Amino acid sequence: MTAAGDTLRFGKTGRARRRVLFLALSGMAPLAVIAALCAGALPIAPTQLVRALATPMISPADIAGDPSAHILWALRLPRALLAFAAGALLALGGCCAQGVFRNPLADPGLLGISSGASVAAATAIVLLPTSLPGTLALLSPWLVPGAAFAGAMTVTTLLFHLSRHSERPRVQTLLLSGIAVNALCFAAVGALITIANDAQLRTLSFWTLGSVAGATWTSVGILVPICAIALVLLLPQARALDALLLGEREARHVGIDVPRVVRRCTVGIALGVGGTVALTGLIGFVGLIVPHLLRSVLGPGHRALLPGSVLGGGLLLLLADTASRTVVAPIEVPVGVLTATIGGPLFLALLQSRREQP
Amino acid sequence: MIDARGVSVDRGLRRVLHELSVQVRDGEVLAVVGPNGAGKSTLLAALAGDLPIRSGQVLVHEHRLDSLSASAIARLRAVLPQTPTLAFDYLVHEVVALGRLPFDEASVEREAQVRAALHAVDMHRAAERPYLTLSGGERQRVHLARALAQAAGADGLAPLAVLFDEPLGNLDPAQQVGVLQVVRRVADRGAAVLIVLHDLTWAARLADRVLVLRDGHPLACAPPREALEAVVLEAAFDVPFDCDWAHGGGSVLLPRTGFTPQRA
Repeated sequence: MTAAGDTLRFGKTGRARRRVLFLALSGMAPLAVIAALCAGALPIAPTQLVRALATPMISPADIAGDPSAHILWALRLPRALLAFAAGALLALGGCCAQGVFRNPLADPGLLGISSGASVAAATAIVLLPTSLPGTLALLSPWLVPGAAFAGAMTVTTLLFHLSRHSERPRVQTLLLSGIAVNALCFAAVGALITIANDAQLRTLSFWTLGSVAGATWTSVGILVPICAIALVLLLPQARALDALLLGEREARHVGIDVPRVVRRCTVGIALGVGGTVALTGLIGFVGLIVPHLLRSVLGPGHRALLPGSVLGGGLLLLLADTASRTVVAPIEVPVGVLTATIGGPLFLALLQSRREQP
Repeated sequence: MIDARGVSVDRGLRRVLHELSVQVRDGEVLAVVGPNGAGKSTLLAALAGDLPIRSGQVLVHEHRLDSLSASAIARLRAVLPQTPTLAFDYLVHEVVALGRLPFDEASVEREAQVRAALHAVDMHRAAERPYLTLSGGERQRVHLARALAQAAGADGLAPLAVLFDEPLGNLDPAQQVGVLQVVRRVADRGAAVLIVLHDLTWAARLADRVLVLRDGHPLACAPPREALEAVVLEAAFDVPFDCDWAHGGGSVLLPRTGFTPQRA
């Protein structure tokens, strides 16, 4: 069966490269968290960090009198967690969208999934009451994320139906649908702005420039379960997504239950993107840059790419957010502006390189 | 064994297969020929479980396909579709390994199967090459290897039925011979093989039986010598044929000379 000299395993170099990258990413993640906690208008020395982190446990009463402990617990820790979770969800969502749409240029922002979420969230802010009556009050913080999920879900499902009419979803059709959806959503947000009151207007303007500055423990508490569900839905789809890249029919030939995979991916992407948009506004290009960079090192196989995107996306947004609030301090650049500044040119370069391919 | 009983398939409002019954026995190659639009690929898709059928039933190894999950069907039959596309740069062995998805096995076993499949199509030296750097013919052979890796099945399973949809496109004559040898070997190992072919000469030389289709109806289903008679072919293609069954020990089937383009 196998010829002599064939006993070497396949993909040895690839496996080694994968291992190095995962070690590097997992090593950098705690360092990035430490950097995010220490850096800022009031720098906290890494040596003070442990004491400040332990303050609520040792003497909860001291927290008000200790500015570093207060800043850490009230601002930087929830912000770091929110940035990491949001980045992870956006990158994972992007990576899965690229698999489901069989297109390396599919990004939740460019396709309009994020805009769909933002319109629904904005509608909820303007038209729904801020708090629900009676026992339902507990659900109030979930209103906007819930609406955002519904918006993201609608757009993802719509795009999927638009793209599946052809054997191979064409990139032009997808991106043009994205432009149309984005334009429509922009108009809808515009209409909502005209009827919003002052308080609502301030909240709405937050969407146009994505930022994790508004992070609180409530928002972390909302995003963490969303993150957990999205991970449970999306991470096991790695092999199915690999097969799906050959085409729906071919995936079915090798035993993939295509409708089930597509359903789970759609819900997972919509949850991740919707949840993120509801809590951070529109942060573009993370879902495009991270999987693209990782693919050049890990290859296109989703078994490494999906967990890699979670780590890489979290890391990228955490570092970008830390940079956005420290580089030109005391001015704070919204992190969405930063990711778009890096992502826009990269997207153009990507388009150019694809055009040169046969 | 593939057993189609009275299968009708509609595409939109049009009926493209009319109560077709056909059997492919284990160890046999059945070639399906006919003009464009005769329903050849539709038949293959119906037998693969890709299309909802209007009436009748399809059984593979005596299991009704419509009662099985996608993964159970994938352990009964392998398919090589016409033009698979892949826009992402997988390595060749990764593409072939997708054929092993239906089977629960250790990675060492999987690699052995992938290696054997790549050897069978003479692509083993390209195992670590990126798929997108291959030529059209090489890509075609990689997909053939993927179907072979799936067709190899697993211990305790009957040999998988294999369906090939026009596997000779993009290939030069030497590679066509190579692919047909692979197809023959699959059948010789005990699999039921159905192959859609455009080239009648290859169908005559390869197949144990030939099904001639026109407008979703069978005109003949018999050993090549009977099914590919000149009268049947003319009825199928509306062109008279020259059939030489003893051309240097093999058969040659071509439209009659007066109907092929002549130099002025």
